[in-house]
Amino acid sequence: MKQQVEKISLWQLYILIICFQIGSAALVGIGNEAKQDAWIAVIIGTLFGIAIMLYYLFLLSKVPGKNLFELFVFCFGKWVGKFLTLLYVIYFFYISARVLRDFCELLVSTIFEVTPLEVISITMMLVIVYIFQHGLEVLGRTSEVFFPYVVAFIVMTGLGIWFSGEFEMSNIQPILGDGFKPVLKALFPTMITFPFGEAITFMVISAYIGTKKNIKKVSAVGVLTSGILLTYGAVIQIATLGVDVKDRANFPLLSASREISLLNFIERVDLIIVFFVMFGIIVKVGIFFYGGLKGLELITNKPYRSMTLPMGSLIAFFTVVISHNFVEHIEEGLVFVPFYLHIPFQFGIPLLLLPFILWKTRKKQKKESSS
Amino acid sequence: MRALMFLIIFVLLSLLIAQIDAYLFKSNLFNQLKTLLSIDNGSNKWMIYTFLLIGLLYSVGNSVKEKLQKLKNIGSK
Repeated sequence: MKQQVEKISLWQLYILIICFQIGSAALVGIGNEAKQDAWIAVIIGTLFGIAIMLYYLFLLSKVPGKNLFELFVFCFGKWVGKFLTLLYVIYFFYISARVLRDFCELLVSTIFEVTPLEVISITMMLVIVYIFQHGLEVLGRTSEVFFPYVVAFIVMTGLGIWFSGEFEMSNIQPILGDGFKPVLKALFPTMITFPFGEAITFMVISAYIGTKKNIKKVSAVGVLTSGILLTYGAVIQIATLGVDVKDRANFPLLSASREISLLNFIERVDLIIVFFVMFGIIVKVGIFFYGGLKGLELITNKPYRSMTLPMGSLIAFFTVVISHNFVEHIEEGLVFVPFYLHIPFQFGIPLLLLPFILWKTRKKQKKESSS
Repeated sequence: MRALMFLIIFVLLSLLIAQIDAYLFKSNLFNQLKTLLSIDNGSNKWMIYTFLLIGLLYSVGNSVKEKLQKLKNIGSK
């Protein structure tokens, strides 16, 4: 198979990490279990997120130039490696369908009220298929173009609410009123796995970075920046809506942005939220999709670009059938996915990989030094 | 190979999603699988089935094209 060289820059990696982490986390809101202390949970979660990202990159650095799937083959041999790769392909495709469903629900309930979910799912997937038909670099470059708008809109949303006089800092108090227990409950396993543990996909992407030198630093700063933006978002949501309304809202940031009313002129800015969430979702679905495609490339030994449309059609299909309604979708995301999918795939297998990598690399080094 | 992978991924993802539903609703896997894949009257599921069919045909077409190319290469040698 002819391998097409794909390279993205460190700056593009930084942007992709931020957009990926913000993606659906900004949309559905995180840390609800911690109530008014959700922002504290996000700050602590960010620190864990940095540690998780550095652990993944540490694994990659042991065998330079290989991605997650090639590490499996390196450690466990061809057949077990390919079997584990297939499991990850299923996991990545399932999560991309979940993330796309989040966005479809947002669109159907806000701006495309009479449009069938199926149409949105197919259209979005066609966009992502088109991006990956042209390669990872296209996603990197697109992110570079839209990134300033994403950050500016997030910051401006907070300022807009502040100037509209809807910002109630008393909603955030009492700080740690119930102690640390709710914060820990929000952290484990929900927030650690979503969005921070999902960075496991970057074990596929990081193998295609042009400059290897500062990957760890850039990735850590990327997670930190996304953590800051998510904390900012959490503060906006709690201070504007209060704990109870935030807990009940399907899309808290969207509900908060609806409170903006400046000079009786700037109103209904929730469309701006839809815009930046849409971009975050494209990046997130795209990165999971790319991870799955690279896994298939390893299994079938065929270029992944020839599989973008078929696999895209599968994801569009499962986006719709994944659950009957939004409530069931969220229930699955809270009850089943973190425990039975996220924890094994984000922590179980990577932790299992560590002793094998250390053993194999030591063996390789000994062989090289003796010869 | 591509068409085979398409079918494998389709089956495995269907089983996973049906299993999750069976776990949540404490029901039977096969019932959930049936519900998952059935087209209800008046629903728009036909759209995604059509798109799925396009994906399948594309992967079958690619596989056939590749096979023909391989045979052509063998014939020219």
